[in-house]
Amino acid sequence: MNTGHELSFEHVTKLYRGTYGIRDLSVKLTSGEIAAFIGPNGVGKTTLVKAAAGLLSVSGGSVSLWGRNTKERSCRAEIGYMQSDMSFYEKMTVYEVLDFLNGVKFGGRYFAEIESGLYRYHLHEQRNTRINQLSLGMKRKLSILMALMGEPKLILLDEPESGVDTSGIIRLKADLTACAARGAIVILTGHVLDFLEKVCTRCIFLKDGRIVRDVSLKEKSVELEALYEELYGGN
Amino acid sequence: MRETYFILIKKKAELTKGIVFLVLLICYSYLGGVLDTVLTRRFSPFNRIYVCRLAFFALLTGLTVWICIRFLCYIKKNWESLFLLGITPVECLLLFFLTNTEVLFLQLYLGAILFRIQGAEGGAALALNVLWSLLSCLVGVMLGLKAHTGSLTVIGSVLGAGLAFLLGTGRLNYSMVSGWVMSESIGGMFGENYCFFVLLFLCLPILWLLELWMYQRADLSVIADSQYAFRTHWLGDLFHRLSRWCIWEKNYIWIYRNREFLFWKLSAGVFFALVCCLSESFLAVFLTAYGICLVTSFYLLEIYRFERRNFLIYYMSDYSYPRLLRDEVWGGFWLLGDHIFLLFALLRLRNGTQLFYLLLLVAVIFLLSVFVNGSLFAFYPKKQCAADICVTLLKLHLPVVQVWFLYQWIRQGKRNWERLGYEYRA
Repeated sequence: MNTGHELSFEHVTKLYRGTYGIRDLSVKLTSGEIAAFIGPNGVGKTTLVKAAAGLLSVSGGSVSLWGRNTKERSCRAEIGYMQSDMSFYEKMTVYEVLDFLNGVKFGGRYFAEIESGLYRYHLHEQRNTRINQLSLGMKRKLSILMALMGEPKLILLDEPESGVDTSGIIRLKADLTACAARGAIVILTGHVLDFLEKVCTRCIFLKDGRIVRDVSLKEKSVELEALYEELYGGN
Repeated sequence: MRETYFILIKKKAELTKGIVFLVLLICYSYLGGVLDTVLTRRFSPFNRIYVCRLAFFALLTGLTVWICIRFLCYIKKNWESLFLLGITPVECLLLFFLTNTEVLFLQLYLGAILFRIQGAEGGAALALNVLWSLLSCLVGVMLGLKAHTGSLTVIGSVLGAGLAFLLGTGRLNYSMVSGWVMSESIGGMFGENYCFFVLLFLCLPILWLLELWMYQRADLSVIADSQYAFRTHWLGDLFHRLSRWCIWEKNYIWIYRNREFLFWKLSAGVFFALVCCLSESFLAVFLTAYGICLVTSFYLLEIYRFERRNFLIYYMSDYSYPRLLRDEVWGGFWLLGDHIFLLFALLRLRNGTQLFYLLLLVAVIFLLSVFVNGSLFAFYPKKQCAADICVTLLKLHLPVVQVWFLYQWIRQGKRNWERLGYEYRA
């Protein structure tokens, strides 16, 4: 399915005090794709996801979603983002946070989705619990729920599987597949290759801020572990 | 320990604290004189001393509660790193006192003013003030160490119920309280009745040892994880239920679940009520309200920090800048002045002629909220500190130029919001 949605990284470079986070990286993603950025720590996965979300001022190049720079306000409502270092309104309850997101982002349109989402990710019992009393896994599930809320057209999940229980991962796989089926672009980062292999249609391997391999998982069977060993030499 | 201390303190905040301390010390004679004049005009000499002594007891109670809250926050924030750094319990407690100097300073400062008004002799009064303050600090920390068990709620409830019972049955009345409070002169505690002083002096090491023993036995992780003993969420919850306004409602919920803020609101409210009762002139009342709001405006910085730390929801939305600013200003307006409006309405509006003053106060607080929020959100999500608020408040008081600053901030904020120019840095 291709409705013409496109996320485009064009010669993106990010410098952190003279060190390259990303180096002249170009890649295009079309709607319906679930792509994973893979690589050891520090290769620029999170930087790339942040650049896609418009959270980062890139040193060179641009990131655009259907021709619009992702830093622009008009793009933000189309993006669902889950960051690896989570921050929440800790003194609000689970329900209040989702209600607030629904209010700010969608003007209250997705009210019904809150309840169903809480049931889907087994958070309904904790709906009146304050965030600072949740376990790490529950916080991550809430973060996923927030990113997926309101059918965003670009979904960015930074290490979503980390700390999430088995039922949460099963639910996440189903939800991501459904999102891709309705035409959303999904970008994941992560280290658990089995999970990525099952969910993704495309895997992009990074090294020193550059793409070293771009593999489609649609056509042929690819051994991600073997490829990883080959590229990073057991790093 | 020295290295840990330098990690724990924030240099800018300490500098700001130092400046405030210095200003307060310079103004010591003036503030004491003003309070003395107001009390002399209002009360007879006997009642004046009575009011001062009651105020001193209230100050000690306030210090105990404040220390308890600060200690809980300190444990919550730092205990893991202190534990991993191998800091001993004694050092932990010392670090706590060293990083919270303002609490003890304010107690000593205000206590000294109150003693001076009572005509107590300098050295002895100061020594007693120091002793009482240290005692209250130690009790506050001990209460903090017990807070996770819910015992504070039980102690508070029992004390409240006991007081209500004594008042209700007439076993506690004005003359009894007055007799007890006025039974001994401040200087007498050091002179004729020196046993009291010795007792107080002995209490300190005993309490210190007891506190150390409790600290070593306490499960700090449980304290850090616990929602404190005080259950004060009802106010925030009430607003949440009454209103469907997004941002200001959320700010209200968050900040009213912050016990330190609640404590400040209550203390400031009591202080404002006192000024309203004691002073005849509107100017004094107005300036007090304004001063309280200026101090409260530092909590808007807390809100901003909260927003920038948890910025994600805004990034995920197309919330427009005018809407954001409107909501933040509206929230800030109520957070700055809600208790003032309430008290002002209760105390002053009775005669029906003060509506103009209330409107004036509303206008000033609204302007303050616009100004502070305008300056904060102009550079979102850039890091801002207390010194920035001080500069903003200084700019607010520059006639005419203030309007230009506000215009610049709103323009900058709008431009930045449309295409973010600042990155979030922890």
